[in-house]
Amino acid sequence: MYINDADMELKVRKVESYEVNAESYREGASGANGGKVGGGCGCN
Amino acid sequence: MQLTNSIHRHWFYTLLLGLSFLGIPDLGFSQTMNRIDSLQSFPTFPDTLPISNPEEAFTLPPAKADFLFSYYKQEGDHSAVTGGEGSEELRDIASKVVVYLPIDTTESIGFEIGVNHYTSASTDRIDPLMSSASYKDYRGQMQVSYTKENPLKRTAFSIFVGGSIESDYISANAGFSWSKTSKDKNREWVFTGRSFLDNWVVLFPNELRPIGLAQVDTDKRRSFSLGLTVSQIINKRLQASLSSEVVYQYGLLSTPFHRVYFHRDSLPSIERLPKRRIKLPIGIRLHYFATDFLVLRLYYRYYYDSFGIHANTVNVETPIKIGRFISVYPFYRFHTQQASRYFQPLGEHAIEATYYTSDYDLSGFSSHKVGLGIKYAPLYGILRFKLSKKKLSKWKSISIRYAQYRRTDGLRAFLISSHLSFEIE
Repeated sequence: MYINDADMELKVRKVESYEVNAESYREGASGANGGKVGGGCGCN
Repeated sequence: MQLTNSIHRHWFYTLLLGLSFLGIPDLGFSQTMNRIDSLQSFPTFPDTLPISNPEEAFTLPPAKADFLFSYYKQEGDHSAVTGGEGSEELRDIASKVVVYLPIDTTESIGFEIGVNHYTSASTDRIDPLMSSASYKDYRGQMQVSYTKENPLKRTAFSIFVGGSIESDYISANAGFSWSKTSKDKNREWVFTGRSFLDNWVVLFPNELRPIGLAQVDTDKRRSFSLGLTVSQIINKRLQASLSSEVVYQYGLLSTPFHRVYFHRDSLPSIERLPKRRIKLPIGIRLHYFATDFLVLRLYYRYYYDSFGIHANTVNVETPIKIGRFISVYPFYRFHTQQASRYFQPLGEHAIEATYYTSDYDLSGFSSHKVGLGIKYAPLYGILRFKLSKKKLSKWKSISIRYAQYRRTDGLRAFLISSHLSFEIE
């Protein structure tokens, strides 16, 4: 019951994926969070 | 062999059906980490289980479709295109559709297709005299995946390929993931490997083109990563995961139209960075079901790379349940990083340096992100409509999320995103 709750899922929410992507471009650090590590220059 | 597989499958479907008679919820293998309560309640199972309708045991899981949309806007005064000073204004509109289609009870395929449209004051300054084509651009991306589960061995294997394209950058990727769940279903290991094969359409700052000062010896960027995530249910209310990754990149890791201005020299050069980079992030996630209406989602990451960046990131999210179907979740994220050894602000690089950048994404700074999300997911869906006599489509849930982002160098951004989830039964 508690563990099965949707808010307990051990991953980034799908609706958060764009934020993770933006952070991987705007910060030198990325990874270990389901975010991308390549594929897109992020040059702007 | 086929007979053995058939027997195993039959046994498995029978077991599935039997468990459903016992009232154990959520037997989908997409969330193998949610087992502690059911196993504590039902530690053993009978050898044979009644089957009233065998067809039910072979029922496919529902097809799923997710529609995602976001609007991002940023402002700042440290554009790397103009050497570390200049507008960083950027707007990005993105949308994506993710579809999951079961082939049978153990195999599935997934499709993802997305498009971004952005306008960037920064890349507009590649040519400082006139507005360039790069002022606005599109990016399209696609991903296809195949997943095969083996419930008897408690494993799942996925492969995926995809790519993206924008005016000055083309990227192809491929990868795999393999997962194994423990016998008690309370622990899971996931190994992931990915490769990105990227190619630049090399553009230099306009004033450097005729004099030939801007040159690069490759237009390729390659990225490879291997990751391991271990998840563990600790008790009925607490679960955690540890993720680590090794990322190796080589090729053109600088951006060919980023300018760098040197100390006592008015003529810029293009950004120069080493051809190899290793990134080592490690993250810990801890989720705690504190009370019937409050969940704590905590995340911490340490990051190190061979450019000299050390970073620490903390994220706290506290979903609050309002009624049975609405969840509101405020969140806060703090990130701090030490500058790359190759970073200097405008006009501070020594001309004899081998590598140099004035890209503030690689500078030392702290950032704060704060926001609010809301999810509405009624038990029987928001809306149901018939597609045919046998097919029923269900709009399952809607999520909306707003985030404000501040960086200590002055960059400000906000992002609003939404997620609509559908199922076809």
